[in-house]
Amino acid sequence: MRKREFLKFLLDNSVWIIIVVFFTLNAFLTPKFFTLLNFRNILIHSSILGIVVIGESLCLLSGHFDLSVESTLALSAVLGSMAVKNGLSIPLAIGIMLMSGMLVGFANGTLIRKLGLNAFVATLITYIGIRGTALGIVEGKTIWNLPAAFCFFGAGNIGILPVQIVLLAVLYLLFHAVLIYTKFGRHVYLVGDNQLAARISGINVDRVVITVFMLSGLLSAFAGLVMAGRLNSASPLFGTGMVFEAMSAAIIGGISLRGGIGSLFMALGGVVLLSSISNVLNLHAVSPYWIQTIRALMILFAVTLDSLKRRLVRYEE
Amino acid sequence: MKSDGILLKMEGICKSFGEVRALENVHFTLSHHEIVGLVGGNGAGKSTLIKILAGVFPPDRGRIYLEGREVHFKSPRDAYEQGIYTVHQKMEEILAPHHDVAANIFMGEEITKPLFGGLLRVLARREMEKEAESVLSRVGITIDSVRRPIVSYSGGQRQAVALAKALRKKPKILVLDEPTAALGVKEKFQVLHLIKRLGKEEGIPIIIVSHNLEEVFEIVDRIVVLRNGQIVGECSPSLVTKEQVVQMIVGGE
Repeated sequence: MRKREFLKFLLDNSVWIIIVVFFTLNAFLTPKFFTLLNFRNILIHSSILGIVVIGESLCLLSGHFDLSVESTLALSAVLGSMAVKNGLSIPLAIGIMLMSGMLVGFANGTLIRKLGLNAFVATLITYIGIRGTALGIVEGKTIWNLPAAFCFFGAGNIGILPVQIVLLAVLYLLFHAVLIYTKFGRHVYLVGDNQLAARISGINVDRVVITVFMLSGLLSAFAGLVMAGRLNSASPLFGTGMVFEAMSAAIIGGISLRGGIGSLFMALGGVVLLSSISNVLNLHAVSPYWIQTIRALMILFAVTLDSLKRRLVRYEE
Repeated sequence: MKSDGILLKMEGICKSFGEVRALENVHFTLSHHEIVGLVGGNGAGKSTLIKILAGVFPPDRGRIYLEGREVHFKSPRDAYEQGIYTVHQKMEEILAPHHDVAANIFMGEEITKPLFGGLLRVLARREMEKEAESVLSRVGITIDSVRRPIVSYSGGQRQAVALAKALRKKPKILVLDEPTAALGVKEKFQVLHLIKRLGKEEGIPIIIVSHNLEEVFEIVDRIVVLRNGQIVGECSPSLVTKEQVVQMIVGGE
């Protein structure tokens, strides 16, 4: 029994344990890896994906996919940059960006709950449609040279810390607390675990799901602001393929695609692990094309651990 | 026992599905502190009757009175809020498998406490765990920890948790649809024992739908037999034999 519980503890925290092992190994094997500057790089590299993963994780925990995150990110970046280029104030531009994200989320949630579409189909529609809208608005062109104040979230510093890293930490702490300590957070998990039971028990499933998608849109739009700031530009092709990275990170972190299982803290582990792996490949000058293969192996490994964990807790005669 | 007033009265209930007449002019009553067994063959109308009671669909004709007041259920939620708690064949279907026992018992009705002087409200975990433990021990359910997830418990224990969840609400009427159909022999016995306790010691009125006459005879105060959408007999299990009840179920002389 003791051994079983210990094993469960290891499996529950597998991502962070793998990260510790990975960092220790590379401290010896990879030159320049174990330096503060490089850790800073890894975290900066994690920030945009990390913010998107919060939203994706909320959706997955409630038992839904959100494919539209990357398109929302691009639309937000394009809209915000257009706004500041056309002389709107920066707070107003940021307001427009965040609103656009929440609107996409609201559309997703409504398509799913009120029209009864499958989450995959609903967000596939917005995934394609919103990317198309972003491309259409600027006719596929990239907007360059944004005001410095607009770039604060993606390129600024607070003291010695880059704003991106601070944002990553603050947002994870905030949303982790929301999920673990509030009634809303508990309902997100319950809806993901057994939607029917949640409904019978009086949980307003429509409201929970629509809110979750709106938060996901909001966070993706915010990630668009960070990306535009970091690159001092806005392209309608921002974040292409990012939804798969976001899902990989969440799954590697142990969030179940069936909903109701996993934690945001572990999803962050998934993000950091993915970033560290590409960082190491970079430092070894390995062709970045191999990263996909390695990511696939990581996912395979993660789901194997997951099924092992399920078997450990399940009741057996 | 049956003299202390009528709790539920269903009067002249009719229900058709297209050409099929599922219920015809059914009169059904339930008294305080009574356990009633609803028996009948397939298609006799048992589940239609309890679905009407649970608010799944309305009757075509007829009235329902709860504690003397007429009630109309537009949804299962309505019935639930009036204190009619229905648990279907697999009671565990109303549980969230990967959440712990306490979280399940309080699902949808989580207790919160103020934080930062009422600025925010957070889940009162300790309080819910304590109350969950007390509900479980009140009905004599042994579960080693309210912090373990439902998946780590056996079928019978899951049913017990589902019942505890119903009990915390202090239901006026508990409707059990084939509560033991999916269980093994030993677990069946435990769950029956629990239902009996709830009815006799806690005084909760129970309607139990079952195919199994053995268990019906063991726990109910009154048997109501349905056939072809009509009530064809009512009796006390102490006054009839199983053979007589079977005779009523299948019809003929």
